[in-house]
Amino acid sequence: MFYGRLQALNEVPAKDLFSVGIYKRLLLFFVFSDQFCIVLFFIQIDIMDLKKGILLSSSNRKVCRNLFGPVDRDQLHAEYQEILQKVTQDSALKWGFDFVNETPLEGSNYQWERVPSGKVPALYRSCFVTASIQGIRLGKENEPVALEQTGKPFSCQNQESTPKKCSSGVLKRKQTNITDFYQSKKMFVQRTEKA
Amino acid sequence: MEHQLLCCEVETIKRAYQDANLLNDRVLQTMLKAEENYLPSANYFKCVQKEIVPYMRKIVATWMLEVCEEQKCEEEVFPLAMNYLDRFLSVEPTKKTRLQLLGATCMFLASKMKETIPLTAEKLCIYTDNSIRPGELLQMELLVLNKLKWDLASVTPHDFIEHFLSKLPIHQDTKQILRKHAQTFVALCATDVKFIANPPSMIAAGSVSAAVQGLHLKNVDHMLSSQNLTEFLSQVIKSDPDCLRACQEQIESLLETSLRQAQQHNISSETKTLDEEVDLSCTPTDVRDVNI
Repeated sequence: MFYGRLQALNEVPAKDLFSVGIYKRLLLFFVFSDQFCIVLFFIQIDIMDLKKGILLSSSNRKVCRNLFGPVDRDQLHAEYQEILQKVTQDSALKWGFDFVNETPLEGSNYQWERVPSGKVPALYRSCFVTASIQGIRLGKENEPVALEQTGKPFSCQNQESTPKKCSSGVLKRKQTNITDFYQSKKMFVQRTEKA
Repeated sequence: MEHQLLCCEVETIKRAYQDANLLNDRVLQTMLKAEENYLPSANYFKCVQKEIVPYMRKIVATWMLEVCEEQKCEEEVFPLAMNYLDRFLSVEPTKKTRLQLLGATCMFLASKMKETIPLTAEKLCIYTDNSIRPGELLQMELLVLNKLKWDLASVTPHDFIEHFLSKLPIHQDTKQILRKHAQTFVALCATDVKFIANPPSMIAAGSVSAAVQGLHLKNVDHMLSSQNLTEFLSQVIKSDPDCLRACQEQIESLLETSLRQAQQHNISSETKTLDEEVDLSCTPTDVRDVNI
């Protein structure tokens, strides 16, 4: 495979590639190293460089930038309201229900019946998101750390009583890691042993 | 202490393995049928837009790609966002000043569709140098969703790449490199106006065959020779071989143009290192003889 790749360097854009500085390290490593994993590692980096070289030619420019001037705020807001109204009207017609006032409309194909909130699954109840959600929004790089920090609410007790999760104000999770389940399982086993 | 020496550049997001059962012909046929529903109109600059011209799309696309790269988004996010953007512009005359807001909104939606931890509205607003506010992004989100008829499950070239790779007689490790190259070409195509009309399957096939040529894999198997591969892939996507060849050539010429631009940029920014690198360009001939 490496052989093929080296040939590729000689192919069409080779001169260009080299002047962009792509593959430099790769070549050096071919010459001086026969360790498979190290070479592979460098290949990965150099593919990234290829991408940067081709697509992000002016990468030292600031990414945070305003391209075409200020947005037409008021008009945007007006259009948004218009569409929101239209969407609301359409869904009211479709479902025969006035979603704004929460009352059934007459003469529709659906019959509506009131259900007390205690009888519906937790999913349909309004959720209060606490401040602890900010811990989870640290961004991709910090994700594992964030999960550890917020690990507490996902103990086995909470797993067993899902409906309580929302009503007690515990944050609703975005994504489940397999390790979360390991963690709670471990705790569960330990506890039963103690008991 | 030892564990701190581990390479930390691995993905932090846990992902499932590719389901090999989905790489069958039935799925491929369904995708080929479905992709038609998500094609933007080819000539929206002429027919729909009054203010927006092709070079503005290039500007906003470049910015979007930079944001996706910096945020380490999944590869699919950028082409998917560009598909939303083109589909929106195909039906809605848009002001120039709203184009960046549209681009940010499309990334917002595409990221939510494809990523485990999606981009936040706040982050995207920072990338516009705070020229838009999160509230406006959310308002625009509804406008975009409404225009796209809430149908965000566009087929992207990435969906096809895996199918094509599974059909080629290539070693797993080479596949990894080939995939990366093809994905880079797909992103490159998404930035260029010329490829708006091409269906994702065509872009994917063109990118894969351009990558095979670029990596000089044709000696690995006779099936990978330029002509055989084009014939084969055009059958897979049920297209004319000449069309595919034209698409591949377009990709290669776009690649060349982009490389030249990158080169010019590099000349202006790093003139002093150039001599050293020109020297290096003779190296591969020697290195090829090294037995690994």
